[in-house]
Amino acid sequence: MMISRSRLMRQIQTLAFAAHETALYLDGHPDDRRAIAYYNMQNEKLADAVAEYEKNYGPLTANGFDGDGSWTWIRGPWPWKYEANADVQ
Amino acid sequence: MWLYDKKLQYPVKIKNPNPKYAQIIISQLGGPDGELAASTRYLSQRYSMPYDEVVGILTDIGTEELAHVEMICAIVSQLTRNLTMDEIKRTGFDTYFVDHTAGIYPVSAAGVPFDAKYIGVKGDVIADITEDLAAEQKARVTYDNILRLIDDPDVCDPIKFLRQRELTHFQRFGDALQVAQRNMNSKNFYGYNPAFDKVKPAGAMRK
Repeated sequence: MMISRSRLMRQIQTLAFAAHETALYLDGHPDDRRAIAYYNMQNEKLADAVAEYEKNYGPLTANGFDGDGSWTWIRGPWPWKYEANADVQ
Repeated sequence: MWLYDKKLQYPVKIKNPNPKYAQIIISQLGGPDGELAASTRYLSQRYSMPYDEVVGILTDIGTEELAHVEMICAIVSQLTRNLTMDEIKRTGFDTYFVDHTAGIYPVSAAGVPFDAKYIGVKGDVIADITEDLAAEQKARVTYDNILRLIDDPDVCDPIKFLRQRELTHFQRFGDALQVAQRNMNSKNFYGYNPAFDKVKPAGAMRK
């Protein structure tokens, strides 16, 4: 079953947040093995969610474009628009 | 270099436009303790920072602040969408409107344009990191004041997220200060500036 765009976006935001938060901690504690394991786990889940999103709803980075039709990178709504966030729970 | 991620760090979905709120919140874009100042400060301080851990913290927090610039702009932009001329005049938004229409220009709530005077890059390890600690607290206070002035939950939700990030960043700059002090002379942190001095000057170790 295909996950809705808004649910997948929220998943990506959550996973990216966890990975980023851990990265900030690791910057100051680079030898914390448990934190590195947690970072890797979140990052793997994030990569899966991003791949799923990009396959169904278009690229999240310009490098994420994967197609031979039209250049979908420019397709809105862009993230700051109400419509892009309205149904994100 | 940087690569744009086509997403907000945290959702911004404001049902009801309110130009008065926009005029207050824009301070966290172009004001003295805003996100633009934060990003510029941290990313600029990297070049003289001698410790890899601290360079990492400055790079990653400075980058996150760019995402906060975008969130503040999303809030201001959603609060000023579909305005009527009557709303613009009634709410006092006319003084901003006359110069910028509904475009987003970095100013403080009082209308003062963004200024590099808001940031410090001293090229000294302790001076720069303690500036960053203070900056996070000042931004936290501004978010507290915004929350005192605003009662729309759609607006407060992303503002609370941003406020919480100031606390986390304060913790991380605390890590940065510890890393720096570990690398410096514990008997006299001010004996020499490892961001500039190639060799410890004679007498640096003296109390």
